Amino acid sequence: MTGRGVDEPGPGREAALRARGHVEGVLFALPEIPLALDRVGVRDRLLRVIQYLYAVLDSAVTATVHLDGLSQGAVMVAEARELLAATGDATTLPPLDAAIGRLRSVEDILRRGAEAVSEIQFARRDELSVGKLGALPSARPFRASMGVPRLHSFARQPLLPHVVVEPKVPLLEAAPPATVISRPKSFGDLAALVADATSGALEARLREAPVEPPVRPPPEPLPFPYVCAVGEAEVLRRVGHDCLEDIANSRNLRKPNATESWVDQGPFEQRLLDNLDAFAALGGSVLPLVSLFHAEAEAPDPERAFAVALALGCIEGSDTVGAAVMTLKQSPPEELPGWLDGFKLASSPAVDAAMAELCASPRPELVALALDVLHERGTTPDAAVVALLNRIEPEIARRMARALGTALPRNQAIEHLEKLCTQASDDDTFLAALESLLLRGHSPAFDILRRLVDAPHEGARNRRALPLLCFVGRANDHDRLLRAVAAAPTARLLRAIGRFGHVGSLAMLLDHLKHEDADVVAAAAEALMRITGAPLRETVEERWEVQLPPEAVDAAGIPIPTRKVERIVTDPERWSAWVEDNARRFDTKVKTRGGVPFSPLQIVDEIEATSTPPERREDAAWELALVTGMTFPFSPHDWVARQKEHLGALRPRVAAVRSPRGAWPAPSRRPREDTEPTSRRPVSRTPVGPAQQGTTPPSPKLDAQLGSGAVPTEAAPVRGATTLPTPLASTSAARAPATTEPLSAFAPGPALPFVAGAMPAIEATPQPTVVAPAGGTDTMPIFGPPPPARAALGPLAPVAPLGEGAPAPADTAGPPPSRRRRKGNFTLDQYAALCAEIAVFPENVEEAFTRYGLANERKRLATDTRWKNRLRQNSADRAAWERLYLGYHAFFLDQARGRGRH
Amino acid sequence: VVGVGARTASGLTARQVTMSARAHKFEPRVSHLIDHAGEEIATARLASIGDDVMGIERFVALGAPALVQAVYPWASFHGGTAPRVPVFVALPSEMRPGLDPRLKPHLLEALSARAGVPLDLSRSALVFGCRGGGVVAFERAVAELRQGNSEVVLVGGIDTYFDPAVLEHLDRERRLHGPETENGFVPGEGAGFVLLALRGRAPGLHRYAAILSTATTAEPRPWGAAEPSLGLGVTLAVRRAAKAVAGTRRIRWVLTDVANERHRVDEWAYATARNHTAFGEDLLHEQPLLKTGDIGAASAAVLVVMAAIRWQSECAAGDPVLVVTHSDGPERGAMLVSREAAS
Repeated sequence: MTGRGVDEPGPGREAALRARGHVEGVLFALPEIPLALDRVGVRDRLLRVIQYLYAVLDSAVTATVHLDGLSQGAVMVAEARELLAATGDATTLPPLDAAIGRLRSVEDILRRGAEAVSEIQFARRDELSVGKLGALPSARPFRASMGVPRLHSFARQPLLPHVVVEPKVPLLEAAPPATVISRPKSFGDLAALVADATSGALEARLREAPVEPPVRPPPEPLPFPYVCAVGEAEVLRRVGHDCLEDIANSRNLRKPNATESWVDQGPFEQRLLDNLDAFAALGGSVLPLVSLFHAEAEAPDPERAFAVALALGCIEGSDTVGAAVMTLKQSPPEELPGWLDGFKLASSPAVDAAMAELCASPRPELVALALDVLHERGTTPDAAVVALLNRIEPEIARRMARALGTALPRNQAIEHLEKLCTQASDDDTFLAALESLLLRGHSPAFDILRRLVDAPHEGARNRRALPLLCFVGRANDHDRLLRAVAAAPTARLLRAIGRFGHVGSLAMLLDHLKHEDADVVAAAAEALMRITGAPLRETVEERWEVQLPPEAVDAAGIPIPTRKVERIVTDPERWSAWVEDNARRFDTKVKTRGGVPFSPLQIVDEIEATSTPPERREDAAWELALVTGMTFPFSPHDWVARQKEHLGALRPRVAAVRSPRGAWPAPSRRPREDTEPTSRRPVSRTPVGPAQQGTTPPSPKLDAQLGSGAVPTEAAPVRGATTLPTPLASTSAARAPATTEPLSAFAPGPALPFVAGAMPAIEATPQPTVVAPAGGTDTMPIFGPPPPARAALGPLAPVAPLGEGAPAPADTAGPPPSRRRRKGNFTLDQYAALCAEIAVFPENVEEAFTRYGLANERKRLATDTRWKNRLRQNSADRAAWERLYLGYHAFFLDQARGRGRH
Repeated sequence: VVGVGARTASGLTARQVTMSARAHKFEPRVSHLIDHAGEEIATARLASIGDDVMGIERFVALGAPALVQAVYPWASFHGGTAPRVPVFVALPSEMRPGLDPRLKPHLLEALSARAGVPLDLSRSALVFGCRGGGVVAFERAVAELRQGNSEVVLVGGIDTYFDPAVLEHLDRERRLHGPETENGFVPGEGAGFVLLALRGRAPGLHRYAAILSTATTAEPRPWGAAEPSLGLGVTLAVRRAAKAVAGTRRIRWVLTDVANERHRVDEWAYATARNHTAFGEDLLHEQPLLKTGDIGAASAAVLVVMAAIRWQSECAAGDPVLVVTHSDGPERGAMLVSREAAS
């Protein structure tokens, strides 16, 4: 039971899989047999059979244990069948008859399998290897879990699952008392016992009088003896039970509440892992406790299911995971979410094999669970997908469609996905297939998507396809999306419009700030913020969501506590004024996010930001996959430590995608993934080439509102070229939001509508910032609220120019002040140069800050705040900063063009 | 350190004790003993030892298994030819009410018999010094080892507060944690043993840790003194122990026996402040006894065992670790222990 699984097909493996299904069926049917029988004896024999079958599944066909497992399994099945047959007349009891029949089938399957394997082994006798029935993975040194669970392996007995076999129906007769005979201790004893049993003498004697066990002489007493109050195993079980309870409770504790970010899950996860380690440290004697812990629940309990799946899924060996799966099969459907959470987070590779085998279950809900687990772990095997292609149950078909987004070679997957799109009557399956086609970069899928969006009569499909088009659509989809919004505005669609990033949507979004539905208004404001990065945030008092006790409600309520949160402004007038003042910055041909041309790195920023709510992180991860065509192991539901690790690896991959800033997704240029079909596995892909730009003209409605010529039309999709800040219009300064936090007033999030300020004050950790070019009062250097590791300001060392001898910025006295460093405070010149460099080269932000000597986040934030305050209070400085900024920005753009980066 | 063993209410082995404390497993159980208010007294005691087992029987039941764990790797390495091992065992102060008089004459023999380990009784000793005496036992063990008469030396501590006389005394002094004494401690019990060998003299054994220094002092104003303690004793002990890494490393991880009692908290706070140059800015002070119950004379050995296991399982908070213990009496002790590369 190595837990590593041997996937080599063969008659032995096939027989073991088939036999195990039947044996499990008999085990689960035992409670239905209304006879007094040795249920425990039958159960234990059948569990032993399962243990033998694990040995077969975990060994190669050339291993002697492969054959032994089949042979011994057949013998043990025969014993169990004999026990059942001896209990009553099977012809009059259908459950008994069915059980005996199934066991006879199992015996036959195993014997045939053994024969086939023996022939193979004879033919390949030079390759034979040994093995041992019931062998377990070798013990490894104990290592504690830090951030992610360790796979523990220690000396122990094989774990047999807990199966409830007590009768569910009234018995027809009373059970006879169990008889115990003494265990033979030598070959002589054994031979005598065999003779005694085969002659019938033993049976006759047992009928007459029970055999008394031999009395052993008491051992010699040790000094100062005492009698144990309870066995030491019981001590360990108590501690183990305590650990399991805490693991179960941690399922929900690790999910962030309204005031927490995704990284705040970390300490709770470590607490969970501490309990997991403490449980593993107790050793094998507590493992049988796990299934009992699940069984003792009086009502369906997903938390207990989570604890069972995770605790057993972190102990090496297929027997432990197998025991968890057996418990799963006996659990109610309400617990499936808990099983999913536990298995997906578990460390044992045996979980993957067990889930792949579970895909063959006749119960659709179990297959669905198995596919979900494999999807979350990124280990969906092609073989399982192929085997399920013909399953038509909606819950399976839907997940198969999702799996085909990464499983199987591309052409093969597309063929199946197109078939699913054509044949699926279920909306979920259809949309999952469509999403997978888009993920595969299949160009015709975009046409399907557009046709669907153009067909409002499609109802639910139409509504659900709209956000998808926002993720992958191009500029010329803008009118199509506007029509859809006009027909049926929803919060989800408006938020997706924000991701779409077309500045022609601004007028429509402004209109929806006046909508009667508060959710729609909030979504419109979020979309506006996502597109423009405007510094329009305000601090508001928000009431906690509390459920008042009935007596308080009857007494006309009590004062509900409030907390300060920072929200995006939803005042239509303030937004309209801001948009009017800044319209010249935007270009309808450019996909815009946070006020700057879109870059996939902005999505990584969003995922990393602690201010991003969990559901937006899911959206962002999905958008990243669709936009870049990458497959990656990152999941927003993973352990925090692993998320950080994956994001660290993801950032340079995304940065390496040489997509022009502001480019719309271009499916026809997406690289194909014929060589790496495995889901969520990092793949190296050809960088995406320059995409065609959208051709949609500026929205007439926006034009009408903003005035003719407000939207520039000449802008090309050159990095930063359309985002140079313009001098601040005097009117906009007067309209600056009075209630906005000082930092955020000048630090709108270019990519993120959420800031740390959205959390209560106690959560307000300093946020690193990202520089982006902008204009207006709002033309101050715009520092977004963004990824912790990415950007922030501090005392500046001079900018290192990108090339020595490069032409000096037009409006400055020379090249960026990297060679003009002086000790002391940061100069305006340096500040402008740094802002411009980061705006043009966001992927080099860390390098730039390092060159400026911005050693830590605190210094960056302090410098940022100091300069923002100064520029806000001093118009001369502000004008100077803008002049310098423009000069450096142009300088860096020239540098970038000279390097052929645009 | 080439062998470790421990046993407390929440674990039967060194690893279980360490990992249970790390996971905050702590569940005191009420007993049949009644406090001054008529409430049942709860203690953190091992469930496998009956409540009718007290005195030397309880000490042996606690200590022998921990001793076996510590000596087992070395004994199995030698097979049946292992020489006799000297052992130094820290025990409660002889002043403790209700202390079983049979401990002094019989404990070592009983431990040897129960553990099945041949102990060199002629070179072994019991140290009656409560928590601070635990470090004294280490000092004596190291001295014995350095004399070169023994290949290895066992050192440890055993203690239990589960005794009517002790609990009555603590209750009378309002030192038991309860509704009226929130800064009291939860009485516990446990045992810890460590097998020491000179570096290079124990080939083939896993090297858990190295004892860099030990220091013991006497507090002039211990618990019960007329004047409040200024923490001079423990300050001096820490200063002496920390000398082993002075100028080379800052201490960032401290394990102490501070378990909620105000006077122990204060003493440790003074010692930290007065030795601030020895500590790193990110000093982590862990108090595992809050999760095991106060284990008295076993504290020093169990804390060393915990550090060793944390290093072995790669979840330690630093290297080296300073182990500090305070007795109710004047004994104060500090030890600096470092991670040792696995052999």
